[in-house]
Amino acid sequence: MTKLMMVEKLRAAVQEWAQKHSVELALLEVEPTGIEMDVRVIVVARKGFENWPEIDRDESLYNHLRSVRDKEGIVNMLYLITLSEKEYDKYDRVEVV
Amino acid sequence: MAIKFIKQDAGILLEAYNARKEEYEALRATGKWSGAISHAGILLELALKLTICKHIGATELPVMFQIHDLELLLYCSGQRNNFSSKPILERNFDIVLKRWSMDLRYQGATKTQVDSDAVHQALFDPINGILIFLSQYV
Repeated sequence: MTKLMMVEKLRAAVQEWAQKHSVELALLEVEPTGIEMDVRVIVVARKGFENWPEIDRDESLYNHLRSVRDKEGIVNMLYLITLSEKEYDKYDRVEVV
Repeated sequence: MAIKFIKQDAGILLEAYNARKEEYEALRATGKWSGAISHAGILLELALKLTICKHIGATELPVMFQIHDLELLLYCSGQRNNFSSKPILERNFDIVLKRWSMDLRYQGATKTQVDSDAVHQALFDPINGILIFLSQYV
């Protein structure tokens, strides 16, 4: 599987998860980290995260993506960031060196 | 051209790890959650650097390892495949990664006990804690 195919499969899986949990997406990024097939997934929700603790929604999304990953035979590390729009305002990704 | 090495060898890195761990425990005990998370990330960084030393069979690391990028350090440690194949380790690594950055040094008390407890569990869970897992390689 190519990196691009993997990104597309994970993107579709996040959209499927959002629909299942009535989460209205404001932003969805699935980007390779640069290390082999590892990806960072950033999900910003317009609605649906208000009463869902971050650690629980991360866990839910991880379990969904993991099942897709296992089914597709993808071997990688998944890094997940799930944010409400309000949380995204404060979110500031820092380049790590 | 001669290779330049980090001044601190594995022995000093281990001493630093033990000193930061004592400080980490004191910060947790006094409810200094941001400080505790800041130290937690440094503990993971030191543990990964010690794991790299073991992985490459050296006591000194080249200066190219003078970095704080935990993803890259995990990759260089030779443990990435172990983490990606064990969902709990993978999740625990992500929990630390998303709550820690060197930038915490320049912030006030932005982290909560919930954040610190999540990081603590991710690092020190007796069965699946990252530092517990890595201790066999350090």
